Amino acid sequence: MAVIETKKLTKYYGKSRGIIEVDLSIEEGEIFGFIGPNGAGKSTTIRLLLALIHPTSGSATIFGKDVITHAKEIHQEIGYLPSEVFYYDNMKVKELLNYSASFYKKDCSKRIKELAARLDLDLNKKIDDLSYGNKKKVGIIQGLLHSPKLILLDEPTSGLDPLMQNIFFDILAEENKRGATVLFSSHILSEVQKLCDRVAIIKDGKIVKIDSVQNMKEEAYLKVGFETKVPFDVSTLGLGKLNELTQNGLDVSFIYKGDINLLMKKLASLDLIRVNVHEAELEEIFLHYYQKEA
Amino acid sequence: MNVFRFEFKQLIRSTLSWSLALGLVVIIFMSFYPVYYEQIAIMKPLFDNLPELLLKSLGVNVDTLFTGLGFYSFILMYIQLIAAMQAMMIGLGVVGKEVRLKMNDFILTKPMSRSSILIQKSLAIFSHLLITWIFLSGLSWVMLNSVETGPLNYQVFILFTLSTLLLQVMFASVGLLTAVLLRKLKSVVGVSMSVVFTLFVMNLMQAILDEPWLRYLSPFQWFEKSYIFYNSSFEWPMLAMCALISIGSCAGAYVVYIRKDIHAV
Repeated sequence: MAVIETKKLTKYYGKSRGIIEVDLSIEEGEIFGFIGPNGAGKSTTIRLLLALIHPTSGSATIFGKDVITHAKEIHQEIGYLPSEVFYYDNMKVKELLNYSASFYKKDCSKRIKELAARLDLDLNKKIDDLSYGNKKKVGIIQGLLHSPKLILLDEPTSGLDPLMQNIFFDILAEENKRGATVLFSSHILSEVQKLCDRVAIIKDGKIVKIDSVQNMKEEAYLKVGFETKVPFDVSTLGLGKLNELTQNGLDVSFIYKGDINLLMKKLASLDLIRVNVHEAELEEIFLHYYQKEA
Repeated sequence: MNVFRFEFKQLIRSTLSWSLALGLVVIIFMSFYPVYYEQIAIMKPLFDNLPELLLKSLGVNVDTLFTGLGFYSFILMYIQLIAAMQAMMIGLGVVGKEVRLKMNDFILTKPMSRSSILIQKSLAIFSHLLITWIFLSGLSWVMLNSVETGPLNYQVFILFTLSTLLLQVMFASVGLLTAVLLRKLKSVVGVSMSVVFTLFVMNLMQAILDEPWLRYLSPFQWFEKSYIFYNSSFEWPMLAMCALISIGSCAGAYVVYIRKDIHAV
């Protein structure tokens, strides 16, 4: 069953574009990555799903229910971590988390303690006295204390040190094992690659590609680099259109998508000094999507 | 009712301070009254010689000033100014808290409808106003009884204190509406002060210029003390005006709050 489903979801802020006709379907138990640069529409999509903003047209459902009309029921099972966290003045961590927990119909005190211990956060401190990274931890606990079925994360890792990031990813992976679906927006591809099953790439408010991380890598996006003994014309290779082709004297490199056997045959026909073929990083694939239409 | 409980608890300190301020005004001023009443033979001609415009802008009515209730009606102007300030500040503060602290993302992603959040917050605001008002009225009653030489006109006294409550409700409602309309809120005190003092100055302007239409713009004139004193009644059009603005502001706040887009900060 699709946990999140959007149909031609569109949002304009006055005349300026938020997102245009976004169709997404995220299955139960998935960790879904949502990547794109700042301003592409990631936050807009997440805010629409949370009913913080209202769609201009199109619709979205979570657990099969409309996100606007059934917001209250849906929110019972959602954990949300915004990119920037803010808190009430003059409150202890414990008080804030208890207030947050008081909205849910379950006892969250055990989970709060577990997560605080895990993230090494002192519950008796005043929030105003915490560092940015520690405030972020309060945000993480706040988003997860009720063991939600769906976790929405909007660029969650900014401000966390690498060690904490790892702990945080471990917690997310455990939540996912427990059955939680995760939607994770980011502009840092390595974290998406590390964690996600599928990714959607968003550009200028439109989804340009949705595929599994595995597929994206396996679709034979290969980074090819070699050096020949004598100069030659790359276009005579007969490998079709090559992306990001650079030729520096005898040095050639490009990204190749297609039949790998054909590539090997063609390369074998050359008089090579050095060859290097490896899977392109998501980063490179991503750049490829962004440059294609630029 | 967790939002109500949370907001109610957060307001306790503020209500204590406002009640203390109002209480001090009542106690200090009312304890002057006996001294001043004893000097009536000297004081009365003094007041009679003052220019009428000055007396009017100070809210002084020489004919009633030498009764306990009349004297109370004079200090009521300042009590109402303080009470209005309190009401505007908590109306704006409680509902605007998430705007000021950029916390709308926090509260509006909780499993609670927006209407329920706003209603619980409003309940917390109005119950604190009611608590302050009960304290203020009780204290005023005790002080008046202890200084009044003749019989106390209870009906007028009740109308006086009710007018304070009505003004509080109106200012709180306006604060509530302001809070949902703003996209940013830096200082609750700043916004409240400017609204309340502008309207208070309108009140002084009205007293000086005596333009009838100006009265509609100055809430502090809606419950005119000498009218209440002599007629034992409110002026109905002004009461209706107050009710209309209170209900209109609350309804407007509700409609806006339920539909508004919460933008990323």
